[in-house]
Amino acid sequence: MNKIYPHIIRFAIVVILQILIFNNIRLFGYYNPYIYLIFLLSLPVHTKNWLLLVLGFITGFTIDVFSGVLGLHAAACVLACATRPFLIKLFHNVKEIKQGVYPEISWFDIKSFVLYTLLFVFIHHLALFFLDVFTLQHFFRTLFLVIINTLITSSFVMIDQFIFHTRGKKP
Amino acid sequence: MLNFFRFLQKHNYIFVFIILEALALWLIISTNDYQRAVSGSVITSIEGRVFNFSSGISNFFKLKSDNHSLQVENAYLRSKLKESYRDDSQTELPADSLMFNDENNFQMFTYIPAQVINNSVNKRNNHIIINKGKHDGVEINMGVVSPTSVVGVVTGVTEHFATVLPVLHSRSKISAKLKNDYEYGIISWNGLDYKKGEMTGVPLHAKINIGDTIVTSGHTQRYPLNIPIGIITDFSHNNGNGFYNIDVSFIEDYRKLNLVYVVENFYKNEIDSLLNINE
Repeated sequence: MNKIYPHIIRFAIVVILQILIFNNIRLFGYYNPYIYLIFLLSLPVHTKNWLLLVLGFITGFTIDVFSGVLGLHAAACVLACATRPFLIKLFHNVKEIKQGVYPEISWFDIKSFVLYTLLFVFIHHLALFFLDVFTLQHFFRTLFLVIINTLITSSFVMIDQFIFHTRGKKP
Repeated sequence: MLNFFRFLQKHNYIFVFIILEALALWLIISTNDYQRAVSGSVITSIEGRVFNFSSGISNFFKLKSDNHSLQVENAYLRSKLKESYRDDSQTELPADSLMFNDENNFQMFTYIPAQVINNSVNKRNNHIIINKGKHDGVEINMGVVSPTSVVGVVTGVTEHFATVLPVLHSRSKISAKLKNDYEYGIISWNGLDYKKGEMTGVPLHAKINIGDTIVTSGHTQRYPLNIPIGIITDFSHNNGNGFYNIDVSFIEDYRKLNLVYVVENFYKNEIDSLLNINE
């Protein structure tokens, strides 16, 4: 791990923003954007699988401590992180991967990046909401919540990408 | 077999995945019921400090609407002061206590003002943290009310903070009655909409109408009598058990909860000891 400090700072910023601001947004009464996923989405492509899982657990657990049910976000994050390498392979030709590249718009094309984000966030939210409700009784209502929340979280990820990750590159 | 081990060696992260996922699920299940109480006072007090800071900022922006609701409540309380009564021959009351007027003018309840520093409405089991604790006289099982309605029950206390199990929780059961009648029931929440609750246990011979007000029954000694909880929006009696199914729309908007009062009952121990004698 050559440059570890930017990641730690990134982690701290994202978690603090999530706890202090985004956990209190409650758009239309129900929807919370979970922007801390930005940290997990944008870890370097060559991150070892086991490290990805451990980081997912730590991130999720940190959020859990500040938002209620212990282990809820941790479980969702670990599941999403486990699928991340497959999602990247699905949307990008693996043979080209160099050391030190990040999964962002300039590395994917925009369409693949959107799909990658949507799927990752969807898997995370699916686990998160169903574990929170802990029943299949209101299946379609929960699924609807998952889908709307996925769109909201993903749009925040997109905004972050366009603001912070397109410097010095021609659109 | 050898292939199997080779597979595990190559994909060792599967182990990591299973271990972490199992750990997370175990955490969820083992702490699901009384998450706050179980995860302990340590987390609550750390959390308390952090949220105290953040709510200090958001408070500033809520000042205007808070002032309004305080004003409304103050007006109501002033009307209850002894100066507002024709007969002021009653015994002297401590100046700093808010007063509950029953027929005999014996004070039964006092209120500890507190502020909500963490709140949610979008989960199946929501929790509230308030900024008053043991130090301020809050104890487990005390009721919590807002200026307009009922909030919940204190389930965990640390030195300066307390957790509240609110109406919006699967274990919340509040004893309630119809305002204009002496029919009792239980208010609970089905987890779908933070504006709507359910009332069960009202027998079919009760006369109820859409628009009737539901108030606290005063049976549990946690809340004073006649605090409004909700308004009947719909009712049915088609499950054949002799009771109405009543849909209630809550009076309080739990999403905007900020200032609350912890209810202290002077006679709770006395009443509890009576109940114990009967058992």
